[in-house]
Amino acid sequence: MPEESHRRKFAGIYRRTIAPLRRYLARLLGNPTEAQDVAHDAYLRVYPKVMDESAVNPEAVLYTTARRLAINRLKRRRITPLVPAGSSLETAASPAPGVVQEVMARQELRQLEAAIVQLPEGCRAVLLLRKIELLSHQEIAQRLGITVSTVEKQHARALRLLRLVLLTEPIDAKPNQPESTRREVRP
Amino acid sequence: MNPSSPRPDPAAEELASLWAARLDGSVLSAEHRLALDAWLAADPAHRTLLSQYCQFSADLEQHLPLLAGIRELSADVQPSLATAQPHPWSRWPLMASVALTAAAAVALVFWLGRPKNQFADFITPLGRRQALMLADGTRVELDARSSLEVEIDGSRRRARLAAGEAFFAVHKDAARPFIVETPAGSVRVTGTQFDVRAASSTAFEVIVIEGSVQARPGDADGHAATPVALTAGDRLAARAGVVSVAALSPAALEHALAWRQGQTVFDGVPLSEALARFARYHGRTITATAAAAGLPVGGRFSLDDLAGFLAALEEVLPVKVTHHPDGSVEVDLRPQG
Repeated sequence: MPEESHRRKFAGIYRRTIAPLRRYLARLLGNPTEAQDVAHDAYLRVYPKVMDESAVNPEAVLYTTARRLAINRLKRRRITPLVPAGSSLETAASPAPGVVQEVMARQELRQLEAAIVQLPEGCRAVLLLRKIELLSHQEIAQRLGITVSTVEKQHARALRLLRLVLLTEPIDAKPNQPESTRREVRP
Repeated sequence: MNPSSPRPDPAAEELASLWAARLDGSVLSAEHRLALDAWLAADPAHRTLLSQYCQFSADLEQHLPLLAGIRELSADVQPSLATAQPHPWSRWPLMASVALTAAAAVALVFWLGRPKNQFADFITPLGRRQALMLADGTRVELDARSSLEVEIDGSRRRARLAAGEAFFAVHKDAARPFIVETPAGSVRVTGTQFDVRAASSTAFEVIVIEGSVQARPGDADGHAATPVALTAGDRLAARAGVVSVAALSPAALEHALAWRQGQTVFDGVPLSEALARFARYHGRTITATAAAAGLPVGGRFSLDDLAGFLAALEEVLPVKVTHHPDGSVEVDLRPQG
C-alpha cells in the first residue's frame, strides 16, 4: 500500500520534472541527446530514494543528481586535451572493451556486487560516496574527516581491486544466450 | 591476485588508477597536470592503461546504481540516512540473490491496484532491451535507454514514449484507441503493429508493420497538427516540423526493426551515423573524425558487441580505432604507408 503511493509519487515527480529537467540539462550540456540520457540516468538513481523515503525533497535530489552527472560528463569531455597529442594513434589503441561493459553483457552482476562487498571498508565508503552519491573528492574528505589525498588513494585502490577481480575471476562458461528480459507485468 | 596472468607492472597500475581517480573526482592542480604529462610521456603503455582505468571508472558510475544491493551498502556508509533499517547487512544475501533478476529488468514498474487498469513507468538502462506485456494484452518491446509511461483504464489506453524507441503490437479494441505520445508527435491506433522512435523533442519516426495508424506530428497534445494516415510498410519521419512518408521494401522494413533482435543493419550509411547508433546504445562517446565521417558502412551487427563492430570497421574500412583516456572512442582514417 505505501509502496503504491510511493510509485504514484514518483510518477508525479517524473511528469512534473521531465520537461524542465531536460531543458536545464540541455543548457548545461549544450546537447539535447545527452540531456535526455543524463535525465534518464538521474531518474534511475532517484527512483529508489522515493521508494524508501530516504529523500526529504526528491525533486531537489533529482536536480542535484542530474547536475552532478552532467558535470561529470563535462569533466570527461575535458580530459582528452590533457593528453599530449601526436603519439595517440598507435599507443592509445586498446582492443579491450570496457571491463564493466563486458561483465554486464554477461550478466555477471553478482561478481561485481560481491567484489564491492569484499573491498576494504574505507575503500568501499569512498567508492560509493563518489559513484552513488556523486560527491567530489573534496566533499568526501569533509564528510569522512580525511584528507583529499587519502580519498584519491582509496578511490584509486578501489578501482584497482575491482578491476583485478573482474579481470581475473573465471567467468562461467555459460552459452551466450540472448537476453531474456521478457517480463510479465499483468496485475 | 593471479601472478600468472600477464599484467603491467604494479607501479604503473597504481599510478594509472590514481590519475584516473584524480581526473574523476578531484580538481587537478597545475602541478598535477605537469606530473601527469610527464608520466604519460615516460612510457606509451601508460596512456593505454590510464585510458582503461578512466573507462572503468566511468562505467562504474553508470552501472553501480543499477546493482540491487548497492543501496544497502550506501546506507551503511551514511548511517544518518538509513531509515528504519537497523541491520542493513541482514538483507544482503536476499538482495544479492535478486540482483540478476533486478538488473535484467531494472524497469521501474508500478501499479494502481484495480484490475485491468494499469499505470506504469518503464525505463530501460544502457545496453539492454526489454519486452513487456501490458494489462490490455498489448505487447511492447523497448530499446535500450528508452522511457515509457503507460496509462490504461476502462476508457483509454495511453503510452508516453519520452525517449528512445519502442515496438508495439497493440491488442485490438475499437472502443479504446491506443495512443502513443512522444515529445514530437503522437500515434493513434485501435489494433496493429508499429514502431515508434522518439529521436528528440522535435523529431520522431513511425514505422507501421501491420494494419493502419494515424500519426500526428507536432505537439504531444496533438493540437495544431494534421493527422497522417499510414498503412503497413509506411515510414513517417518528422523532423522540426518537416514530415516525410515513404513506403519501405520488405527488406528495409526488416532492417529498421533489427534492434528488436539486438541487431542493427547499416545500408551504406555514413560512418558517423553508424557510430552514433552504437554510442547511444552503450552510452559512450564514439565519434568519427571529419575525414572518416562520410565513409559508407554496410552490414548487420550485434548491438551488444561494440568491440566486434569496431574490429569489423578496421577490417573493411581504411580506418583506425582509437580509445582515448577519457573513455571515448574515435575512428580516423588509417595513415597510408
